[in-house]
Amino acid sequence: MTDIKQKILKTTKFLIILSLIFIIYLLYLQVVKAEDFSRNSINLRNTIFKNNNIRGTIFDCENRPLAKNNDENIRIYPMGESAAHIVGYANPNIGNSGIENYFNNELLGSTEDFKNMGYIAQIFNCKKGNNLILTLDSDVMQTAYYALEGKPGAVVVIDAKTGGVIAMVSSPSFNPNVIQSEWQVLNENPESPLMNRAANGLYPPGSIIKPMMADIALSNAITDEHEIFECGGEIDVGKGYTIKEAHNDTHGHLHLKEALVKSCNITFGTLAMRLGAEKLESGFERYGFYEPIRGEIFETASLIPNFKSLDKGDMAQIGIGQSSLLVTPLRMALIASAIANDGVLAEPYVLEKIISPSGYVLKEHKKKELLRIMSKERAELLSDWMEEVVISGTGKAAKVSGIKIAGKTGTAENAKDKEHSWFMGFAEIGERKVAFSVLVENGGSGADVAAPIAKKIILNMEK
Amino acid sequence: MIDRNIFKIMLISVIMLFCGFVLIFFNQYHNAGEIKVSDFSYVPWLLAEIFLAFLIEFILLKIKRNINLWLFPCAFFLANFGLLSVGRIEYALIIPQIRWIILGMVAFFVTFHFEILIKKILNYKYICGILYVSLLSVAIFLGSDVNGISNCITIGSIRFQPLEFAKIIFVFFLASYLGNYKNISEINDYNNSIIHQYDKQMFYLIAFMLAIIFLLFFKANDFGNALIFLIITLIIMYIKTANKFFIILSVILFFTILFLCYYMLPEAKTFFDAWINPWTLSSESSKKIVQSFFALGAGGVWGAGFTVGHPDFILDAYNYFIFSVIAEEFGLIGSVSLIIINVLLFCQSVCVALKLKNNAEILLAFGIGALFFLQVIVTLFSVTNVLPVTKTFLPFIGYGGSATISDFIMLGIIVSLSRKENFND
Repeated sequence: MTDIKQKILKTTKFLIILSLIFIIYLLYLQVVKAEDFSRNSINLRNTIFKNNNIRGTIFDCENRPLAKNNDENIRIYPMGESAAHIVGYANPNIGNSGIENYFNNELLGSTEDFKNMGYIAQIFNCKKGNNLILTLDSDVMQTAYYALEGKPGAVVVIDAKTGGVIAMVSSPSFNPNVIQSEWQVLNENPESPLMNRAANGLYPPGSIIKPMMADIALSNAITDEHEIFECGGEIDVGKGYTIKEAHNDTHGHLHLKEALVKSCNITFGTLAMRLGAEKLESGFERYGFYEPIRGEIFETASLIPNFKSLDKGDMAQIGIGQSSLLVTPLRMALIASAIANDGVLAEPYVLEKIISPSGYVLKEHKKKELLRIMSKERAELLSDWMEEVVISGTGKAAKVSGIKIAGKTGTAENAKDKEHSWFMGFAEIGERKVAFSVLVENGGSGADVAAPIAKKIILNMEK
Repeated sequence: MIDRNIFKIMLISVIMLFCGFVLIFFNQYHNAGEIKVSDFSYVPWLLAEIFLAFLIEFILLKIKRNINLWLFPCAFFLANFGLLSVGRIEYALIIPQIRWIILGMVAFFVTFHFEILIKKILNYKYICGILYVSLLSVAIFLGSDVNGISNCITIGSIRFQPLEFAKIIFVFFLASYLGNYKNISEINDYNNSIIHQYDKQMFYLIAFMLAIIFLLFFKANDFGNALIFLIITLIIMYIKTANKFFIILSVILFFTILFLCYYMLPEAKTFFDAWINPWTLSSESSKKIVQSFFALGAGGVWGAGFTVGHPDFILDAYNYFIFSVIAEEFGLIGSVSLIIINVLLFCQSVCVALKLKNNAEILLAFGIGALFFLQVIVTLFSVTNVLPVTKTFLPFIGYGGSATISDFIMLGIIVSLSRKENFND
């Protein structure tokens, strides 16, 4: 082979390798970057798609519509204020929010599974969008919303076994049917009705943190069920600070169980100080506080203080859910659901199914890997104790005859105003274990304000 | 056995053509709700094209002189692929494009029979050079941009692009000019004057080529073709002389020209700025690039589906940016297959070149094959912003009479060089 021919072969190889590299770049553009390109606001393909397709309907767990198009193709929300935050709105001028936003493509008619499949996608593409079936229950949502009586607050109700969210209500709310005309007013309202307090509001948990603190203390073996604590109504936590009991009570000698039932601040403050920074941090980590829920429900990350920088007094305050600790109502409902579900936390979800207009199930909720945060025995112990709270302790206002209810009240002090009123727990209704958390901002006593709201919800679900 | 398989392969592209036109029909029906009878007027033309293609391939097969039988079916496939895409973008362009393909095939067949002439031309390097310069000058100084096609010459109702034909002549010129060039190692009676003579030859060539690039870039704003002329010269220089000094020198000079343009010409600055960051959407070419990106993204792996994409968003969709349309509707699978067919075509022309004996003929065959492939690479790089936006066509695919015909003529030259007489000495 002559010199020329060898060089021809070399050049050929070079050019072919160049085109192979180009194919890799093409792969990057057409596959990796495709999502970015399709989301770009100047990409006209989205607009065309939006204008051509009729948005699908969103149903609750019993096929009652939460959002649908009327005959004039205007989006209407039959549930109005009570489902406004979680379902959200879809408005051509304002934009989308909530489920309407997260499942926008599916509602418009494109499902990810078929999105890049050429003709196969065309078979499934008709002018109608897909319908969604959610885990939400309109009845429970409405009851919860009206039980809040317009006071700022939030209710979260979760099926503890599956993680399906039955209700997520935030008050004050807005009417998604008239969102556009009221947009300005809503945005300027100091009570921020557009915010979903259930998943994005941050509050000090107060005493409802105590079941979790009891578990952290027991699992770190710094105490046991038989230790007797001494409550003198006041405890010195150093630097001249003291922790006091509510209503200036004194509880005298008591076990951990009694301390939980009576919500003894002295006991839990002591336990937190005994635990120390590292054990507290690993405890909060185990309960998933550092990993907020993402996806169709977008939880704001809880505000966990840097334990190592806390002094003893602040540590004790953490033990009773005060200090700089801030959590979401959703997070507290999740802790309740883990206790209800034998110590296993099921990831919360809202979407049950996506159904094509012809009735074909395009996507169904898949059971996710569950997270065990405590042993079955511990969960049973805690639920027994929390049951006692409702039977004889601070949670009597939530008692419903014939239903096993476990709960914990909370009255969280805050810098601004009256205490936040909390109630979290679970109820066994029929086959289901229903975990919940109720928050009323500046409502006062948890026992007097939040617990009766929980009772109303349970009574409604029992029917 | 291979003979029959070739017809099977051609049959595949006919089936593709048929399916494609059925889909275009349904798309028209779907959008307009009715189809006029006259809309089928392209069918006889289409049948004529298919018949002609099979006839030509059959004749090539019958000649039995070791003719390369793969090149023509490859081109036939690409031409059909392009026809579908063009027809899908603009229904009215179907018949003109079929006519161009038919004319191209005729030109292929004619060129194929002029093998002796082709070899003779290789002896007249200066005539080639003059012809090339005159075609180029006509294109640059008399041509104008018509309907987005650059450097067009309009005579009556006929429009043509001299630059497309200038490319062929240019390869002829290079092959003849460098075909007789001798490396220092090849010269037995080593003396200074001879070295000097050959080096002078190289210097002239580089000066000549740079002048062309300069003109193309400044006068016609045609970056793509300037780049193709440069690379093809460098490739042939490398193959024949392996003189690294001249290659590096011309690359440096080329980049100097670009830098000078960037800082001195405001048009060149906007042109290159659009390349560096197209997302600012500051100029026409950056908008083209962004829309091309969107089309590529919309295609994904499997494509949006033929006739379902949005070529109406892409500027210059049926000529310079036709690849974006194909990539959107056929996805990664389509775009990669397109590249593979082109690689196949290139490899076949390399095979032809490797079987030849005469240096000038080798350079001609390889030069034309490389020219095809370079046009593909430069065009693809341009629509994906690896290179700035160019005015180059994908061979056989984009709409355009001059481009289609000149592509078929080049194909005819390679196929005729593969005839058996060429290596019987």
